[in-house]
Amino acid sequence: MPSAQLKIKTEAQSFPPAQKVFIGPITRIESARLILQGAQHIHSTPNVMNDPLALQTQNWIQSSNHSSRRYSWEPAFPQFASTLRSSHRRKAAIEEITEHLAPYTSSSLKENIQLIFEELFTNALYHGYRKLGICPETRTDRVELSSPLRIDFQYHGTPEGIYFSVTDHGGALTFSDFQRSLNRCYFQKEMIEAKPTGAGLGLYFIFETATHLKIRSKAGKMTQVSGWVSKRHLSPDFSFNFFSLG
Amino acid sequence: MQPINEKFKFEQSLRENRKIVLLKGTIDEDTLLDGILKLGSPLVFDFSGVTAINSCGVRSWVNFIKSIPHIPIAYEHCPVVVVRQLNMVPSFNGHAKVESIYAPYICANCDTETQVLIPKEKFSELAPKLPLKCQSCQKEGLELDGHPKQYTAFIK
Repeated sequence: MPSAQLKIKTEAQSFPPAQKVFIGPITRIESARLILQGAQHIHSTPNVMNDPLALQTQNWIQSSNHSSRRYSWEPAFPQFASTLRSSHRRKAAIEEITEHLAPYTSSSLKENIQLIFEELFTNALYHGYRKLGICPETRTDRVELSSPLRIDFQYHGTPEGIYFSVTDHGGALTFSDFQRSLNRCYFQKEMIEAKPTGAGLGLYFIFETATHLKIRSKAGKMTQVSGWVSKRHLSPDFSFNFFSLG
Repeated sequence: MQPINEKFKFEQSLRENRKIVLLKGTIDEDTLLDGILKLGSPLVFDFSGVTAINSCGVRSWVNFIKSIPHIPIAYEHCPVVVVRQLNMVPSFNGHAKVESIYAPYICANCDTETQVLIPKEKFSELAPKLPLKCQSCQKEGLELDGHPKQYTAFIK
């Protein structure tokens, strides 16, 4: 892997090109610093030279073809897929997900999955379609999406962990949005309290909780946040990949 | 029991001659916390009944705690969902003292999860393994689900 980069101490570095893969035993907060400097691909692993996920990312970037590729943690055919259109259906949808995934989840993993879906549903409903004028002022406001607008979600349970994916078709989440979210939540925490909604706390929770996180964003068309949560929290490995699809 | 909304409730009880505020349910965008102030001072919160906290709930709780800097506060019996917030959002405990937490241990034999109550004196020496019997398979050997230092990263 000649072009893979191991860079952890980042404060003094200049703005790195976004399409570089950062590999190494990188912590979440170090990853956040890298992301603030523009890094869109981070694989935290002690296996610096041969991490299979990092190799995949490297190959995809070099081939400029990542729109339909899957990492090994992404199932080809997720067990469950559904659609959400109403903020008032969030709880019911999460209860259904919890029920379906019960054979694969301990109580703490169940709580992680519930939090991830709740935050992703809320982000998608309350921010995903803002370019179409759907901008609720508070989280207690009701959101109803009319067809064809919708939130698609998928999930898949295995003995090793849970796959999740939530997609909106408004395409409002940009890499800059994600950077602002991490900046507030890691480095300017007083802004979390000051900002009534939209501080990015939900994305920060997901970034902290997911073992692997992949965001695909196509301006005005789609935002898909998918990831994997390991059953056990012992593995230090995690990955973050943001693919801008144009 | 003081109903604030159907998802979140609190009640005051007496434990070892101390007034405890038992919190139950979900802390989210619908949760109103001001009613708790009628219970007086100091405030000792028992979080064992809290089942979920979302980002809006975290923000509400942090602002609630910040609004009462003059009231001594303690957190007891914090479940995993609360410990996660303590670790991710340092202002979640503000000036409160964390007295006890639950730590998730997994049976090495059958994968059953057991929540073990950890007093503050043991936070810094959280055991990666416990010689306790699993309540499900009765075999001995529970392993902490995570790294001890990461799970207690909220210790300042």
